[in-house]
Amino acid sequence: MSQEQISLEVEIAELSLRNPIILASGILGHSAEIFERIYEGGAAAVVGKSISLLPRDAYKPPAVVEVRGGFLNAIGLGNPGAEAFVQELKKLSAKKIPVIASMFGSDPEDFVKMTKILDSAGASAFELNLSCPHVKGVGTEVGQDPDLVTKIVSATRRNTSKPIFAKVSPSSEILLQTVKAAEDAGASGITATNTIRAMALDVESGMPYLSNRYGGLSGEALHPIAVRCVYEIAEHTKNPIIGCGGVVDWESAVEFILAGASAVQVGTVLASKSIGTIEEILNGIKGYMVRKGYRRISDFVGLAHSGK
Amino acid sequence: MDSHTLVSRPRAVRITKVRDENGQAKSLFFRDEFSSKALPGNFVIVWLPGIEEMPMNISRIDSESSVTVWPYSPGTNALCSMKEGDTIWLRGPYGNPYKILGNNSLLIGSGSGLSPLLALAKHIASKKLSATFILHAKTEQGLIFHNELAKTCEVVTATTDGSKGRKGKASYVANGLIANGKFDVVYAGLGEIELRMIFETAEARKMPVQFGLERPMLCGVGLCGSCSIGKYLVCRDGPVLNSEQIRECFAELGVFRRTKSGAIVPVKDY
Ligand SMILES: Cc1cc2nc3c(=O)[nH]c(=O)nc-3n(C[C@H](O)[C@H](O)[C@H](O)COP(=O)(O)O)c2cc1C
Ligand code: FES
Repeated sequence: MSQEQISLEVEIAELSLRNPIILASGILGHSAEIFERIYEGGAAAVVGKSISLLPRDAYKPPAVVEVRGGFLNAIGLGNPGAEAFVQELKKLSAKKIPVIASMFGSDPEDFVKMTKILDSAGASAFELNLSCPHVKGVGTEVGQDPDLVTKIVSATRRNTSKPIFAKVSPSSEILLQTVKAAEDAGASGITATNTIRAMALDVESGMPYLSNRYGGLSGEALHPIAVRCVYEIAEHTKNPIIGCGGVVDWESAVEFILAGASAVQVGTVLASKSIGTIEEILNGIKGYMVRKGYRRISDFVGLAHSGK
Repeated sequence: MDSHTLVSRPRAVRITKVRDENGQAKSLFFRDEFSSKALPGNFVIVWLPGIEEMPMNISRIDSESSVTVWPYSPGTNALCSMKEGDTIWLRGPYGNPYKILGNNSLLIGSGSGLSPLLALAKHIASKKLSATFILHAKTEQGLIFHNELAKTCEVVTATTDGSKGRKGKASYVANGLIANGKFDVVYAGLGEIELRMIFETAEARKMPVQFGLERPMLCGVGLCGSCSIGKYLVCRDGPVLNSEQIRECFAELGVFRRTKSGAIVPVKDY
């Protein structure tokens, strides 16, 4: 098979993307200019930094520390609020760059308002952050409460006809329950996964590096855990899954696809390597497809399940 | 430093010497292999556990390197009262350094922006190239590094209030010298509003610039996006941007910036 016969295009829940690589939420913020650069660098879509209805301050630095195999971060979901994100969304949708708007909160009413604002500003899809591990009252704490998940997803669903992805936590004991609650309430697919709650200590001072003490682990070390989540979820759902966590090269991206993901998000690698890695991953996936004789990404989504 | 050292995990270093620069700013010297290999314009992130984490330019790059600190916050106040033998924590160095472009350079620095330019002036001198340095501060009291600079290049002293040397803002003094036309590159570490004014003059004369920028930083490694200017990240693509890059983000330079939460706010003069 030659390169020309191969298509990297994917369709996830009615979202048509030129390839399966998406920028993960919170990585490099939400500036339209930066997102455009990442799109030009090869990503098919970007997920915005998680937005709340009202502005919220970030935690004080140290908000990031390197560990073996990745980074811990506790940015604290700082964001300028939904209205401020509208300006960026408008610039991006004018350029036809697909943007998945990420939202967080604990009150379903907030999601109603945010969805209305962001839908009319041109968001291509939504991602619900049910999985941030370092902010009280939102993220993982919401994801652990299937009733609240139902309420939040329904609130969002009632106010948009666009795809909704529920982003779930790798540390959840009730992962499949959360997935089911989200899907029953109208989620179109699942993003798996977010960072996992973690800590690193400085032995000289005897103190945690992060000002918030707890952070979320991202990068290579997270990858096998995230692959397990994708595989486990794929056993139970027909809806599309987006793999996220520790993708550092084409192989780690292909692993997600074999486990059942139709698309893959990249985050930490853009810092640990560079934005240029996106192009390398795409070329690597193409090379793999040529070797294996796959014409489309869907030819190998979830193949790892067939050999059981 | 063993091969397992993670560049972005703070490492404890001992202060080997403290130099009082002007009764206010202090230079803290330390031995750190990574910093010794840095280039002018690279910066480190200094951490004082429980107090603050702060990006800082490296002012001297040597077997003993230094950062030069002005007291204006809990962290910088604590650093300024430190003594030989005390411990600070560093990660980095980060960023793209200054690139040596011409044979006759003009360097401009003011106040807290002087640190990386001291390292650059020494680097240029080590290559036997000529340079003129506009050493600027708001008032005479704020001038630092004079004797050290005078050993490496021609120094033009200037203050905003005229209490020492030429009178005027750094951009005003710089634009006067640029108009002379004898320089082939401009290096500047100033506030963005000042940089904007210098850029317009340099562009009119087709003179390349290398500007050291400062923007609010949360991570320093290219993860969070808080330091963005246009399509560039000051922590990764910068802190030194060249003429082409400045042209691309000129609409934002000195006009607006993002807070650490990503909100857009106007840039204030400083
Ligand atoms: C600095 C930083 C900020 C993040 N902010 C968010 C966020 O706002 N919302 C969210 O859902 N995930 C956020 N994440 C998690 C990422 O989207 C992603 O799930 C995680 O980093 C794992 O992927 P990676 O290993 O490729 O980085 C953030 C991660 C990092 C490192
Ligand atoms: S400070 Fe975080 S990307 Fe530059």
